[in-house]
Parts: sequence; C-alpha cells; structure tokens
Amino acid sequence: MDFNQLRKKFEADEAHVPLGAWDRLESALDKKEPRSPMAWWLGAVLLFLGTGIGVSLYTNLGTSTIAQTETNTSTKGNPVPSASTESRENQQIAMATSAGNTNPTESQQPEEAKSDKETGNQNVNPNIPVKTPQSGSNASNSGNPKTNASNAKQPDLPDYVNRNPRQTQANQTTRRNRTITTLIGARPRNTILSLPNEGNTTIDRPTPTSNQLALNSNNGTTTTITNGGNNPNTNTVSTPVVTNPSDNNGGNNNNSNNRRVSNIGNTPSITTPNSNGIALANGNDQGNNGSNNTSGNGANSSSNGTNNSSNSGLVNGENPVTDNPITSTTPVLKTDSALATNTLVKTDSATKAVNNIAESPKQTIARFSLWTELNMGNSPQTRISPNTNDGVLMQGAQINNQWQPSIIQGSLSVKYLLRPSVQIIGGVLWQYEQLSYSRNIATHNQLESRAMTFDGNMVSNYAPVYQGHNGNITRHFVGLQTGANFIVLPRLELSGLIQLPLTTTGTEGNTTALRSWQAGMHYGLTPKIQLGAFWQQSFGTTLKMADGTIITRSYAGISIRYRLK
Amino acid sequence: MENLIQECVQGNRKAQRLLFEKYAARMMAICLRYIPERGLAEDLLQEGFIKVFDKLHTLKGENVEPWMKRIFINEAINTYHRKYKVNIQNLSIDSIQGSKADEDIPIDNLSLEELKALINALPAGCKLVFNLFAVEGYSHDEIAEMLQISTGTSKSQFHRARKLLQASLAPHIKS
Repeated sequence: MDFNQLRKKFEADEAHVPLGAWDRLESALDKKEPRSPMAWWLGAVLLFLGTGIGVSLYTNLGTSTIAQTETNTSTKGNPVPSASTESRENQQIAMATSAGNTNPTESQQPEEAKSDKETGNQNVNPNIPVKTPQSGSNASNSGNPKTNASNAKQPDLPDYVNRNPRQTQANQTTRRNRTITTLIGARPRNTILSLPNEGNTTIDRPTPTSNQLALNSNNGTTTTITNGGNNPNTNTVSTPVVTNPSDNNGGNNNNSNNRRVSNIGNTPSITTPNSNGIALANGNDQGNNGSNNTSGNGANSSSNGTNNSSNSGLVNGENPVTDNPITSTTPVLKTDSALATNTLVKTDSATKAVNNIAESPKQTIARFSLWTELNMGNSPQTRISPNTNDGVLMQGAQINNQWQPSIIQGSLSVKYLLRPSVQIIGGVLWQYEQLSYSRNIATHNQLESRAMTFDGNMVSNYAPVYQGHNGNITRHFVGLQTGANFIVLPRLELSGLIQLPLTTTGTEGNTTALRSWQAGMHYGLTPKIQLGAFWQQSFGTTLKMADGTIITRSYAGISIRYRLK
Repeated sequence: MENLIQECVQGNRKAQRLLFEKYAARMMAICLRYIPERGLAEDLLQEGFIKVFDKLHTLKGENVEPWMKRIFINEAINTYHRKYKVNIQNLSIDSIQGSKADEDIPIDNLSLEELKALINALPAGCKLVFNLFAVEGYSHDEIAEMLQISTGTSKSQFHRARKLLQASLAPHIKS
C-alpha cells in the first residue's frame, strides 16, 4: 500500500460543517473567556457617553436664570439623539443535526436501524432508548452501545440521520443536551432539527410544508406542537410508558408499548376526520402483531409501524424496535406568509422527545426571552417654567435654579423576535425619580437707590434680596413600556421605547402620567449581559409642582441588562 | 496568516471566525474519521477549536494546519477512549501469521469515499491505529505513546487492519 498516495487522498478530505457551528463555538468561547479588550473598550465608551454627557450638560445647564425661565416654557421633547434600554437576544436554539439537507423520505430513514436489521441485531434501533433491559436470550443485545457501535457500519451517514450519539446509542441514560447557538434567517430549505430528548418539548411551527418528525425515547414525556399562523392546531403526543422497546426477536416477549396520540383543537387543514380530541391508544405486543385501540371521532385507525398520515403526521404506537422514527410527508399546516424567514426551535434542558423535524424555511419559531434591566440616569437638561402668579415672583425677578434630577429605573421585559433583526418588547417598569433643587429667588428691593452718573443719566441700583428655596422631591411610578429593538450588528442593538406610567406617587408633583420615550444603544458583553446608554425624554404631560412650576426633564444614563431566560 | 493568528490570540472574534471557516471542514473530516457519529464529531469540532484558540499563543512559527490537526487528533483519541472505552489488545502471533498482509493493497482505483468506507468498517482498535499510522503518518512509537499501548500492539493492530483491508478489497481486485 502506498501510504503517501493514501495520505494525499485524505489531505483533500473535507466534511460538511453544520450550520450554526460557529455560533455554537462562539457561545462556548464567550462562556469560557471574557470578551475581547475591544469589547470592553466599547463598553467603557458607552459608559462614558452615558455619564459624561449627563454630567457635562448638567454642569452647563445647572444654573438657570430668569432668561431661562422666560424662554423655557415649552414642554415639548428635547430632540436629542438616543441611547438604549432594550435588549438583544442571544439566539440559542437546539439544533443537533446539520442543516441543509433536502426533504428526506421515509426510505431514507436512519440507516443504523436498517443495518441492525440486516445484521440480525434488531435490538439496537439507535433512536430508541432502552427503558427496561430485556431479560432472556432475545434481549442479549439490548442496551449495549458498544456492541452496537462496533457492529454498525457507519461510513458516512446522510445528514438527516440523527447522529446525536446520545440518541444513536441504545442506552441513553447519560444523555445530555447540546445547545447550539445559531443565527436566524440563515437556514436553507427543508432542514432538519434534532432536539435532545429530555423533558417536554414545545415547538411553535407555523408553516411546515414537509415534515419529518421522529419521536424517540419519549418515555413519560409530552410533545406539544403548536401550529401558528392561521392554523392554531395543537397536536399532543403523549408517550407515558414504553416498556421493553428493544426486543423484536420474537420469542417470549411481553412488550407493551403504549403511546397515545391526540389532537386537540380544531384542525381545519388536516385531512384527518378526527379533528377534535382524538386519542389513540395502542398497546402493541410482539413484533408487528398488536392490538390497536382506537378511540375518538371518525375512522382514524392506527397500526404498528405504520404512519397514520391522516393524523397530523404522527404515528401511533410504533414499535420502537422495528419502526423507523415517525415520519410524515403530509403537509400538516398552512403556510403563514407573515412568518416567513426564521427557523428556530428553542429547547431547554428539559426538552425531550423530538429528534428530527424537517421544516420549511418559512417557518418561524416564536422566540421569547425575558430580560431585566437597570437604568441609572441624570438629567442634563431640566427645563423649568416658574409660575409668575404665585405671589412670590414679580416682574423682573430672578431665579437661580439648581436642579439635580436623577432616576433609577428597573424593568422586566419580554422580547419577541419578529424578524431576523427586529424584536418587539413589552414589559413593566418601575422608576424612582429624585429632584433635588435649590432655588434662590431675588425680588426687587425696596431700598432701590438712584444716582446720577457723571454724564447725567440716572442709574438704578438694585440690591436683590434672595429667598432661598431648597427641597427634595421624590417620585416613583409603576408603568408599562413597549417598543422595538433593532439588532444592527451581531452584538449591537438600538431600541426605542414608549413608557407609560400607570400610578405615580411622590412627595410633590402631580400624579398624572408622565409619559416618556426612551432610546438606547446596547452592546452585548456576554450573551446574557449587555451594557449601554440611554436617553429618556418626557413628552405630553409634564411634571407640575405644587407651586405651579412646570418641569420638563430629560435623562441620560447608563443601562445594564441581564437575560433571565 | 500571521496577522490572522495574532488577531485570534488577542481574542478577536472576527479573526477567530475566519480561522474557523478556513479549517473547519478539514477538521470536521478528521473528527468524523475517528468519531463516526456525527453528533459526537460536532462536539469534538467545537472542543477542538476551543482548545486551538486557547493554545494558539503557543504556536511559534509553526504551520497552523498540522499543528491544528495534531490537536484534533489528540482530542479525538481522548473522546474515543472516553466514549467507547476501546481496549486495544495485542494480537497474538498466530492471529497474524498466515496473512498476506505484505501484499500490496491497490488503492489507486479507490475513491476517497470508498477508502473511508473500508476503513470505517474496520474494528475499532484496528481503525484507530490504521488511521494514525497510514493516514496521519505517525510512527508506531508515537501511536503507542498516544494510545498508551505498546509498540507491538500498535504494529499488530495495524497488521490486522491491513489484512482485513485486503480481504475487503479482494472482490474489488478480482473485478
């Protein structure tokens, strides 16, 4: 054998890298190491912008004069550019198989299973976990991953075959989930997602057109598939008990595999006559001979190992040993063109039961994330309109105002990914506002003196008398906020929010809603933590003090966001 | 390339992504060569690149790809042992004698895919040693150290692998 020739051949060997592999890796790197110094610098710059602008503007505008009071009567918003308070979602989805494969047919189903059949080792359907080790001679191979691994010829399985080792080994007791971060909107047509089989899985899938659904190892779990768009169907697959799934060699087997498929809700687009509350319970026994109990409306029957295509593409009571994963080529759901671009399945550590899902690119998986945010701001610009009819101020009076308004704001928001780079936000917020002020009001002095200047002009000299007013006003409110978040760069987001206080309390000031808009910019330091700056500007109803003074204020500040879920 | 590596060392994600995209397909092939299960191989690809980025600062004037391949092969071997717990045994002389392993194995007419299929069909220990010796070019001493087996075991496993390959290729040769 010419090894050099062999090595040359292998030098050119390349394999398909799954879509989202880099995102996965990047997430892992983010967890492993802090972000690059560049990112920290950017964070520091944002911090500086948030506070520096506020401080400098406040310093410049901290002292108000009568001229200011005369001109700053407008309560309209200050057209100052923005910063941000909203958040960016790190799109972590579970996608355990490579994307980019075209619609697999049923005949293309896992070759491990086929090879097992061919070799007579029928206990090793790799996609079916062994719940109960089989006793007796027929069960000698059950749950032996090493045997299966060495026996199975796995030269280069097609991509749609679930190769998750946690699923390809029969004994999957130590299975762990893999979370892959992938980008949205980049999935080619008819890709397949494989979900770790842990716990319950909920998939929102508005527009699958050609589906392949494999349910594996779903002992005691429930898979709920919610159809979005115009077809709000909910198909629930409950698989409470799977016993002796590995034995298919005949003999004295007492397998009882109970799987139940039920469709809940109206399913106008599904061809099954059993559109309401179908519950199919099959208890199959040895091999393919079993009794199927069908209940529910219509003539929906099921048999072992067959695909009951009329039942939303889900198969009832398949034999976990001999059957391929549940498949369906029946378009189950209507296409919703409004949810067109993204393909995402979100799982958590408790997900289980769905291995392969083929889906169309027009499928959008609803992706919610929960964020909490803390904003701290100072006011670079506080506009004050004194009431000149309060008996204190007179014509020509002067006011030296020094206001130090500041806020602390906390919020809890849910974000929903509407488009690849657009999220809508809704949430509750709480704001504490403190306005410390020092006002020196000078009035005309009775001791006005007049003197004749050298050139004969009369000059009036005023000796102002100051009346000091110092105080501290606190206000806090609970309200709602809603808006949009735009992902302009992979880690950089711009957001715009409308904030509507519902209840306002405080030591002074009116209790009417002080509406404001807020704009911000955030940078993701880690997938869970974002740092940014914001600008908040009141509009509409302004804060009216007890003495009639109307205050319009803006806040600039820094913001930190943390992703809760 | 040096600039790219320097950027990667400094933690520049864009540079790291470029490096990943440049070598991911080849490294994935290596992963699949040792770990046929795709899910495990994908995990291995990720772990390998994490290690690559972690150790990249130690790369001094070396060619990146061979260095990277070594990391992936070592990671693959570790994964292999961890997942499969393969016990590579020394084969007795009897099992080797009578073989025609010295005969040449014609691989000219075989495509890469055919070769990979043949190698993948080998038993675990044989495949591992064969890949390391014939494909990667490690010596038996190096393989022995990597796999923590004796040199004799490495040789015997390789010998067996050749024998099995010859047997697999026999129909091919006749045709």
